[in-house]
Amino acid sequence: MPAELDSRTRPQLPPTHYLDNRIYTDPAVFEAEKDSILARTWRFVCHASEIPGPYDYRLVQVAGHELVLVRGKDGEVRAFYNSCAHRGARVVRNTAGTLEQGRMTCFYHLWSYDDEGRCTGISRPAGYRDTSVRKEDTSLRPVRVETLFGLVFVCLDDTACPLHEFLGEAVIEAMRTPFGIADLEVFHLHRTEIQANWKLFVETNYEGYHELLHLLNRTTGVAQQEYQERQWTNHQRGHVSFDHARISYGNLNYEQREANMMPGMKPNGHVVINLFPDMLLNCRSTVARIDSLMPLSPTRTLLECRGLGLADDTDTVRAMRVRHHNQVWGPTGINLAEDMWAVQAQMRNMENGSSRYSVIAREEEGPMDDSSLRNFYAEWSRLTGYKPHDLNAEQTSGQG
Amino acid sequence: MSEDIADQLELNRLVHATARYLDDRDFQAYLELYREEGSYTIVTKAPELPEPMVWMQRSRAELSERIDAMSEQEWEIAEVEQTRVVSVDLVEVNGGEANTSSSFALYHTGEEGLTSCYAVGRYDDCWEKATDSWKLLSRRVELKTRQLSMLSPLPI
Ligand code: FES
Ligand SMILES: [Fe+2]
Repeated sequence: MPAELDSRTRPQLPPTHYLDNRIYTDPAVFEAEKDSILARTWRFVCHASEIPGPYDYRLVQVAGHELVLVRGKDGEVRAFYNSCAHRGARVVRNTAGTLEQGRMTCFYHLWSYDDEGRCTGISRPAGYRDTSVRKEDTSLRPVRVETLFGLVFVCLDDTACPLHEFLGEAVIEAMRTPFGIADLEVFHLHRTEIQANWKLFVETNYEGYHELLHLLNRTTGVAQQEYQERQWTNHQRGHVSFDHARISYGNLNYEQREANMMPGMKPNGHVVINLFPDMLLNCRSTVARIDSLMPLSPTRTLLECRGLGLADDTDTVRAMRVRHHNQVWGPTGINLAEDMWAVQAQMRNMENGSSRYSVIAREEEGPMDDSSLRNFYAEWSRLTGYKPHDLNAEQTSGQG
Repeated sequence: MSEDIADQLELNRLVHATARYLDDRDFQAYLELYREEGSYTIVTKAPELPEPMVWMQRSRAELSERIDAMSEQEWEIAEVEQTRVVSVDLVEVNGGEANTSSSFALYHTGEEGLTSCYAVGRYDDCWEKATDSWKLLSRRVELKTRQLSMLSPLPI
């Protein structure tokens, strides 16, 4: 007789409390996620400090599209599809820089655009004399951009609600510490390709149960009695935040983080805020981290990690933040490596079908409750129309 | 053989020894190539940021402590066959001090026997002659590769 819970048999649990693992592998689900989530929600693309001056630009990827972000001479950040109105060539080809003379010139037939995306020049215009092609009516295709606390978000959906409504007051309030009090600056940025579905990595920041995986969290967090009072708060639209907690770095012989804290943070404090679908914000007292994801296929995800300090840090304080950042995060830190490894180990069994179901059934007052994951999947289901516990169930029309 | 040439050959040998000890996971022998106050840094430059990033900066003692304190998971993650191919292109000896500069490629071979290039970059090393042997005062690893398929606190 098969065991009742063996990763192959449908768990005897409420439908909200388990997952059909094909949500991680099915190409049709991935396409639906692209259309109804990745291209329809507000997505973090960079921090304002990465395009600080007039005419500074950045290329970013959203739902498979390449966008160019430009800070105009008026200080406003704008976003456009990086695709020439003439015949679709990539207009901007460098990852980052400053527009020369405030212009973007397409290399192919030399059409040019200004910092607001307006076409400023069509070469040999006489050839279009008898057509409707005029530079006055030509532009790069704009994309909605909103900035909150220096965090730049774009949304490919012209009909989506504004960013403030998408986040909601409670989430914005949670983000204020440490992002909304003083000017921050990105000092670290790296990408890593994870051989796993994007949601698996998101989940590592949406649940506290796997803190048992991390030597750091086991020793400096979970081991303390008071840590058990830490709670997840589930917000609207799948966003969550994880209460402030005090971390005992000394338990691992790490430096305490009691001086030069990020604005609003308590000594040795830790907060987590996750914005649906894939922006993960962490602050460990002296340093902040922002992760965002670029899902490439059902089984491959590009993770982008940033480390942030204060814009006016002295060299000594910045060096301390970099050190604290690298202790836990970054390519040589303890936690990121473990998370990446963990989700890749999961993915293998989901891909080959050995693992059909996952359990997200924990209910407890405390950090290891799974309600945050259930909150994520409720929103995921609302937008995609899929039932995450059963891919064979009839798909409703998603609202994304 | 002149003393200068002997030093050059010795430094060349030592750079390759750093690579060989890391390939062999002989961290004790690796760390013994450093002076007591020696330091190890990994830096890399991304087009999105104005300043190079520091991905790791540790003294010899801190490096040793970090390796000793690695979690079980970190050891398991790093359990991959490593092969460094190093080419020393500069050896400058100046009395009791020397600089060497080398390019390197680090290959990983998994359990299935599949090999891939994990990272390329440069080793910029400062050496000091202590009594009769050269010791590393600092190694600065400049990574060209910024997307690493495996993350680890072990020296590259
Ligand atoms: S495609 Fe850009 S000018 Fe022709
Ligand atoms: Fe984790």
